[in-house]
Amino acid sequence: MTMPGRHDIYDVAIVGSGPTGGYAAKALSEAGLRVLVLEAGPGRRRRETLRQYDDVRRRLGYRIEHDPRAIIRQPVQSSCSSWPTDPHAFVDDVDHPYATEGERPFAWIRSRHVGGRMVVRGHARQFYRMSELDFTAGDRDGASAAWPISCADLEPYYERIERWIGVQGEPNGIAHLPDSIMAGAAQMSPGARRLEAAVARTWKDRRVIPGRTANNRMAIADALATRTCTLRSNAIVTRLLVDPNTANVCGVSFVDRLTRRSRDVRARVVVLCASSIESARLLLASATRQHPDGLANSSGTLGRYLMDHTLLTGMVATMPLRDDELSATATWAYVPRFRNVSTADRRFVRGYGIQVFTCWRTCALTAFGEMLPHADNRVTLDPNRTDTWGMPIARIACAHRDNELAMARDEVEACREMFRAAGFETTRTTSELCAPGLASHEVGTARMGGDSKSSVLNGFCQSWDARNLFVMDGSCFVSQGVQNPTLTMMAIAARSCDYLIDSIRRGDL
Amino acid sequence: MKVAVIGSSGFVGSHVLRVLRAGGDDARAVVRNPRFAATDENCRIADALDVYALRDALAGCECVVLSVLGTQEVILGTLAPVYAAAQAVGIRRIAYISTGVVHGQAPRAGTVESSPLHVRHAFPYNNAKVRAERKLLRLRARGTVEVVMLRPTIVFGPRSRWVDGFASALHDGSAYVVDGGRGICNTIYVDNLAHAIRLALVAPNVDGEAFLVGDDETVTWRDLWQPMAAALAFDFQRVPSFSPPAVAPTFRQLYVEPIRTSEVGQSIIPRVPVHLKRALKGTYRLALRARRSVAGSDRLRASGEVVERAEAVGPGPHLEGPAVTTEIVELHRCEWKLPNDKARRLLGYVPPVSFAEGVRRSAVWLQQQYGRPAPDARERVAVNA
Repeated sequence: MTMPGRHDIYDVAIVGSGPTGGYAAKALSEAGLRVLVLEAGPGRRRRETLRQYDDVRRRLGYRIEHDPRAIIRQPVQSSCSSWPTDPHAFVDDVDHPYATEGERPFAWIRSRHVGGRMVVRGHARQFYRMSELDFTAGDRDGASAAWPISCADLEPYYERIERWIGVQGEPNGIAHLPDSIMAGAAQMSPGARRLEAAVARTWKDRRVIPGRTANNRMAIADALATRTCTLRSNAIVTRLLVDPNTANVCGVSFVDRLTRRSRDVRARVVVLCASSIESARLLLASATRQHPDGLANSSGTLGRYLMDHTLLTGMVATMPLRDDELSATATWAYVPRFRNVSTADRRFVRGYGIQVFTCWRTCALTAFGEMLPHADNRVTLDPNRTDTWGMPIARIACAHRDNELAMARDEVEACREMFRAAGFETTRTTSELCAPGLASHEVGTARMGGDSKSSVLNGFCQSWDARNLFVMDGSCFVSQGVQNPTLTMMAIAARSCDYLIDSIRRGDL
Repeated sequence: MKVAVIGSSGFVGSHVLRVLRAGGDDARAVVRNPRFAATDENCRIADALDVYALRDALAGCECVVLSVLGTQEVILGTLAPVYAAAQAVGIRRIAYISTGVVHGQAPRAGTVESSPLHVRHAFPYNNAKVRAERKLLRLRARGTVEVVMLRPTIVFGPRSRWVDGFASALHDGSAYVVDGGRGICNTIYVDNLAHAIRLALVAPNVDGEAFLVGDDETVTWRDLWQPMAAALAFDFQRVPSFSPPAVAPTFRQLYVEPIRTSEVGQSIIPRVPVHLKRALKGTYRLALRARRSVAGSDRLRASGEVVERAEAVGPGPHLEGPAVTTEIVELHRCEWKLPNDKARRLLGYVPPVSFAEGVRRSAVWLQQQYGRPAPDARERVAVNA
């Protein structure tokens, strides 16, 4: 790792090395730009050592999920199902506090390390495209603003990302869940096939398809191979620097996590890929004379319209399988959205998809429902508290509203009747949604739009207020669909990178 | 107060739930079986070994009552998940239902809460409960959730094994007492236990403490069972009484069980392949049989196993006569009333239901359950006696 020099001016500084930051680094450095990636978490070697350490401890019988002392340090992070197998991938909640509104909990799941959430062990990594149905949803029901881009705009980028990560799945010919470019076939487990047969027998609009998954691939590794990309780990970005003359950004300021020293680096373009809530927090914390309400916040929409899929877990059943059908491998299947697709449901708008987890005789259904963007579901800065690095902490206000709750009731019923139809014996049920945030699919705090009055970014994730500022993570989402968002986030980032490269080449930036 | 009762489909759990709700508390049932959940509005389903299911189930509660019955593995295996889940969702205090038999079935005179505990009891249940108390305190040292342990002994009331079990034993002719039921019975009526639990959840400065809880009255087994027998129109005088000789501990109790139930043993045994275990067990049994045939007498006196069988055998399918077990013999030979003093002092525990009233309620329940006893059943006791 080369240290950024004091007087270096990079072409692009990217904040965050997760799936979008990593992919942006790869795309931009492959185009020959000098890229600096700032990652708040530890570097790859330390991360790998900690992972090995966790592994050995677990093999020796230590169960971190049963250890109160570990839970005291990570009360929020430990609620994520991937935490027990990879606890060091998650932040320490004591050092990384945030505030919520009153009695409304929000579980802000964060992983700070090179590669981001994509490389957390235990993450299911499912990749589904969004469809025209999702991009035009707001036009039909008026429950969300219009996207400035269409599905067709993203299609070549979806293909590019899918070829690169290698999605395993099968083409299913479903219009509202477009087929991906598949690198290999996926098998459904015998249990999922039983469910599939029962669902096909009982409902015309529902289907069970193999999950579309991929191995973790670190884009940042490709970026570093170009040798024009520099990765700086342990760099906690505290604010973006603004040129007082032009009101454009001119670099970032970060604190070294280990030495606690503050550093500034200069860059011609800044790309934020720090995750939806963190990016909004950084922009709000970078307020200056020219941007009094926060950087890129002339519209007043920055931090607003936070969404996270509503998550219903805890629907578990035992499958009546023969001994020769049993498999200890965990496999995923998927029930694509079936509400409000061809017919309109009176109870709620939008819909939900159900992920089917099967392992041995256990079948667990997890419903991910679309949350509507609401201006009051928002991220602000807490005026009174700062974190260990002196940065104001985020205050998150997010609540499920009537549409989400009505949808949740339907999700519960849908899961129960699917178990009944398949003849599975229910061993656990629930009727309550998890707290928002637990789906870890949070998007939409700096939404894109067609004009600067009602949105933070244009269709290329470029800030309306500072032309050399891009926000390429999930913040740009206008509405979220029911699909796991990473594939769409990466496709949008790839498209924005093409635009950024063109702009630099044209001399616009 | 929002309380989650883990194990609320069991005898103690269900009564605790009822008493807490009657007292105005918002008590949530946490059970494993979804069929039970269907009958209760405020109920969550969670296996007490599954920390994530428990976190969902306990969320929003202030206190937890842990009343899980089961094998040694369940008793010890549920503690860490329950404690961790309680820690994660911000529970203030866990009330753990331990047992008075951590001091033995027949505690020595002078036994109080602070009397030293050991894990050399002849009965694996006692040892498991001692280990459970120790494990909870270790967890407490690592976490912030307070722990209070209650040690009731003979919990009786409607549906209790001491009431229902005795009644069915009367009916099938297997009921018996030891030494005429003169031994001290450390009873607690189940509503009194529920009351003590409630106090344990709210009392200040009792973190990490254990409390012996019982009824105020010093009573004997005869005092407990005579009214039950009378309620079912059985003559208690005719229930067979045994005076078995003091039981010598067996080889198994002395050497095998301590190793098997030790923490090291419990960590190794699950790793031994099933086939090997079966082969070892088979060999052990064969050796035992060979030894017995040589000795010519039944010397197997391991925990809960038969030490003496009544000779009198009447007609009918069940009438093998009472099977006297070492555990019951020990319980009936108790000569010490475990004191309530500490609970009275620190929890402010005063049993709301007298022993006599508890017995009356249990007897009424028995009558409702069994109705008028059939004449032949009465005959049966007479035959056995």
